[in-house]
Amino acid sequence: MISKKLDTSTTPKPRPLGRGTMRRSVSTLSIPQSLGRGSRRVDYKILFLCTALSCIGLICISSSTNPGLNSLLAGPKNNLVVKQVFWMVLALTMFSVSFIAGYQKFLDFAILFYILNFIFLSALLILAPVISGAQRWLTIWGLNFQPAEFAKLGLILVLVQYFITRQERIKEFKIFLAAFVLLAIYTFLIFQQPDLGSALILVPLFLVISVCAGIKKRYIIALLGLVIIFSPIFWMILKDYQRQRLLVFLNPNADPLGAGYTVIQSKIAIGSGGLFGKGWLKGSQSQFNFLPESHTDFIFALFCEEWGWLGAVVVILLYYFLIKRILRIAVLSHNRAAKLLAIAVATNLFSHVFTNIGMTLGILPVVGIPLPFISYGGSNLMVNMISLGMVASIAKDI
Amino acid sequence: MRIYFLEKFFLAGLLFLGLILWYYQIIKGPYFQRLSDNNRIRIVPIMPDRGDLLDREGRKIASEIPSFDLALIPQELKDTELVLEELSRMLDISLDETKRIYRKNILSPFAPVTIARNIPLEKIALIEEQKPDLAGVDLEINSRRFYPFGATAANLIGYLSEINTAELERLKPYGYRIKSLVGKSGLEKSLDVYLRGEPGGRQVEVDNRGNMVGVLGEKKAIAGKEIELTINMEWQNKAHQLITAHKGAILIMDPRDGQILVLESSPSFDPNLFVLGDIKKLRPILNSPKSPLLNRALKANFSPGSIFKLVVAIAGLETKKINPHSQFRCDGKLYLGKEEFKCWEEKGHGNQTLVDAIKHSCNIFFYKLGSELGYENIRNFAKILGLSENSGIGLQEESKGLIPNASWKYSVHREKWFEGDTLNLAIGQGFVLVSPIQILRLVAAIGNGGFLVKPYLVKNIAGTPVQEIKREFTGIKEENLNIVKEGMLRVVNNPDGTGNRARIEGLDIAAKTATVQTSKGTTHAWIAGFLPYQNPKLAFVVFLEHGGRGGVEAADICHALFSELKQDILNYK
Repeated sequence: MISKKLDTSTTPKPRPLGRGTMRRSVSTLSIPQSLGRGSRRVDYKILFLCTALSCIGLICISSSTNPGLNSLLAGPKNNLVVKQVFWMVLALTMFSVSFIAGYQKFLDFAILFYILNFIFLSALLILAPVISGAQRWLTIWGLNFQPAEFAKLGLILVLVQYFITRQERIKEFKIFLAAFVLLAIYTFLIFQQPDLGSALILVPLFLVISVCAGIKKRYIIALLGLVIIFSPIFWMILKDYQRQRLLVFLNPNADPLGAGYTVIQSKIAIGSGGLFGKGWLKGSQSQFNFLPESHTDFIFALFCEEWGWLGAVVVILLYYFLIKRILRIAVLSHNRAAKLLAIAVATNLFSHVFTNIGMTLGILPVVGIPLPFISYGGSNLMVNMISLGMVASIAKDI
Repeated sequence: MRIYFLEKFFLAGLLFLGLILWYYQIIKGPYFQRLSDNNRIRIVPIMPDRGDLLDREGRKIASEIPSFDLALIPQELKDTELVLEELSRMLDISLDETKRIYRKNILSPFAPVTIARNIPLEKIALIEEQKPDLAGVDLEINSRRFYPFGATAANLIGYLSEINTAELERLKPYGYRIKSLVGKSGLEKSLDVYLRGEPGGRQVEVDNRGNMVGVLGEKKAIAGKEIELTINMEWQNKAHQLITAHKGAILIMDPRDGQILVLESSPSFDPNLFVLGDIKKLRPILNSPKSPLLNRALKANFSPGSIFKLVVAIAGLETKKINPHSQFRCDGKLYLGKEEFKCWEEKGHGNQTLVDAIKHSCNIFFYKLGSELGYENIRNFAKILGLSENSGIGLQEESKGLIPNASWKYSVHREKWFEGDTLNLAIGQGFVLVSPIQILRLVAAIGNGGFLVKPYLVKNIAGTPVQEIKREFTGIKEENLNIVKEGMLRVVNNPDGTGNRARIEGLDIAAKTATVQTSKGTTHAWIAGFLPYQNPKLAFVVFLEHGGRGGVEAADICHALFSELKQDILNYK
């Protein structure tokens, strides 16, 4: 079903990818198709957009860790810009690697990748009691990385590969059930960390991939129905403190000095930025540390405070162009697996951006979801750049 | 198609975020801007120096002196525990106490927490030596209220103490905070508005933990105004020493304009203890059965006794019930029905005129006069002469007292007025209650030719004279007053006058004594009058609560006081 639709959208009336040369290349379908001038070249639009977003991230991280106004609180955070530059270099390298290797290699090793991530996630749970508190990090060669971030890529790859290799039997319930188990395993493991945000963000990813792969809609509707029916039972078997924790997750404003504090400070930061913002390094909410996590999950609030609504619109537009570009590649690709992969990457990107910004605006519960390319942190950046490398490698085959 | 739909869906999601951002940043922008400023800007008040109180000669009665205080700045402390330990050792305060004071008084990380006040100099030297090791310890020079005369005039001056909730509510706009000191009684309270000055403030920028990260601006505090009083502290001090063993009050006023030179209430207390706030030393004052915090000069809790006969005498003359030559006979006792009313002199005083009756303080004469006048006449003249009303001195401790009549008696005691009540009233016994300062106005009015003056204490504020002299003519004829004055002169200067022990050669004191029967304990002793007899310069009251007899204990104190002050008095204007 999906393939039919995708085919009709590409072949009879191809939508141009861009202006000028691209329009020409698309119209001449007999020649090996390409996105830019000449084939087998990297997609500069994607590269430009993700680099631009990363540079905005660097500006925000440097502001968040700026010791100038508040020397008392310098110290631990002050070399984060350097670290992030290092991560960016590493991530660009990974982009190149995945671009050169091509998405098909990733799909070939999807099962292996899935199992490897499963081991990491399980290792976290086993090590968690040893290292106190919530455990989301593994330290390898002195670098912290988050298995949950890689799990998102792992799930994308395994689902795409699984659905593509079973294209003929895609309507069978068994297939859907098996895919659901693949999702459930990761969700459960990540939920146990506990990292509700990363666990739940896998769900829209699963839904979009399933629908686009051609899974019967009624299975998905039935699944959603089951979740709704069983949620009260699930709620009842939860322990009191777990319920409490969920309530705080769902309504942080109920507790303005506790969990809700962050959201309130975040809204103040964003709102006080106004149209033009307070200027770089001049956001009092972040400079005086009223805003927690201003270099990671709440970096968008810092950005809005210092750069205003105009800055925020620029960032949102950059994300939109990036997502649009990825989807355009999906449209133009002939390979069903590649299409599905690109759609999944775009969906993953969108759900992160939407959840993170929605969370800083207080319209979504505070769950630890980073803002792609901008939030400080290596794992998310690496995963995103690898994903974009794969998308770029799709483009070189068009 | 599906991808196209997906793209539009993502676009809608991002547009939605953009719109919410527009709402927060543009529409509600000013609101969040204000919240953000509230977050980061704090005002740290700078308290002004309180104005000094000076006596009429320029002596300091209350002033600000430097106090070496030790404070900790929480945000600069590295090892709080260690520093507290070290300080408790150096200051000889127990560690628990040090910790308690520190924990209790933390307001914000940048606001110094005072641990100890008034540190002696040798300890300051010790701490200064150690200072490099004591990060976060701050030696501050603050100013502190100091009363050099200690307990002298303490009830008049009043004391300062930590602000309470109600006062804080009222004074918050003036920069008062928890723990600010405010005047709690006496002049410190009634003149607080002039003395307190205007606090300044420092606008500081703080971070999320309240740590100060910068100063935005500073407004200097404006010191309170210096106030010069009419009090003569040297005289006051003598009065204090003479009365300190008794409960009571000594007052001296210039009857011509109402300026108060002495207003001493006893027992007294050391107001410095309240400034230091040492509860162990304050408890005996607060719990004393002698109520040292009560200003007896202003409280109308006392029967005037025979002093009240002056009112009855004036009433008699003014209403023409008697003239200077009228006589009443005293046989030592008087019957009203079966009830017997006695004179203090059992043998009786025989036939006497008003002047003699005042001199002897004869009860029978005034019973008979009172009986002829009736209680309403007596009450009218008592009111004309300022009894049962506030003197206008402007201290909040004042109370009005009581001159009874039939309707009052009925409303309070549910009893009708008996003739016996009139007789009691005529000699100032029974229900009537007055304050020493009311008696002072009364004798001043007799001395100055019938003018009821409003007593005052403040000569000038910050160099500007403020008191408009207010005196009200009572309408009493001078010739009538002269008869009463004549009687009062004889009280002191005739050998058989009741106040003869107060006589001092060359001062021409005229006075009236009173020995008041009280329901329990010793009698109250009064002597009140003026001097010199001709054109009096001073009016005075000596009152001893349960202190003995007017003609003995009170008169002796009066004598001692004016003997010592004789030269000063002769030099006084």
